Amino acid sequence: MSQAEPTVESVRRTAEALCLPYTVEIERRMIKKFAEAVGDTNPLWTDEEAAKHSEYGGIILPPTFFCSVLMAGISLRLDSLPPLSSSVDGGSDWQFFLPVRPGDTISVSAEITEVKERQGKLGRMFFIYWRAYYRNQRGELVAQSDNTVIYY
Amino acid sequence: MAKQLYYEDVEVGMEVPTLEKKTSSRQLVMWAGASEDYNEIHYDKDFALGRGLPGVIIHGRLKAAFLGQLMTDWIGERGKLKKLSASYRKMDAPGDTLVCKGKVTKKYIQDGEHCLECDIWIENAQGEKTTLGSAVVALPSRG
Repeated sequence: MSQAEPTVESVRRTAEALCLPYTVEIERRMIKKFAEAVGDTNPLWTDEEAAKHSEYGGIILPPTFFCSVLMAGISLRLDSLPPLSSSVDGGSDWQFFLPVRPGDTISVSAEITEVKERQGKLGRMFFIYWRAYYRNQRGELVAQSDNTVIYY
Repeated sequence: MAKQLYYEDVEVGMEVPTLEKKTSSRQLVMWAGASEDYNEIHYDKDFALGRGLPGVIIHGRLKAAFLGQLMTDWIGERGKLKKLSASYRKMDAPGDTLVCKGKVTKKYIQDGEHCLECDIWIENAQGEKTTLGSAVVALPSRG
């Protein structure tokens, strides 16, 4: 017997240990690459000249950027949760509170909110629910996400 | 900049203008790089097959970003996306054309903000809803 059978408690402990905080400095080039990947040409995130005349006075981070690098730091660690082999992203709810500008630094912290076990088509499945908080360099909460990852 | 949408322009039941996305393996690689999501199921066919998947699949969160764009394209420069939800129900493959759609379900004023709630979703070429979601936006008012 190499590894004990996972339980809700053991899965929760393993996942909690992976929720390490990290920071991301928002650079213009990141925003450009992101918008190109999505194929999103909104001037608020792609055209500095046009965005200057907006209420923001310049380019802002697209809110969907919170689906991206800002989650990857934790979600990638949660991709694999030994001894569970495979995982799939179930979905997320994002809330956006304040605009983010290039030059801002976003600190991400996360917590496991719930772990459930279910019997699925593929056998035992674990559902991990985790929440991430995104704060800027002034400590203001700019966004929050509630996320589900499913292990089978 | 597209024409600005105002709260008074919208009624419950109104459809959000459709956004069509022709996906490609190149786009998935660009998304992997831009989002730093390097899970092999999105670019390595053998790896994906080994995980029991039908092949390489599109990142769920890229689909969420499409749904976000559906809303931000519509609400214009002065509109604000306040909430976005996405639940990935079926897998999509690179090369698929995904159609993002939405419908206004609620209209209300809260804390001085003029808000809309919408059901949003992605349909594949067969008309199946592969991603379900919702959004809350705030719009400027003419009032």
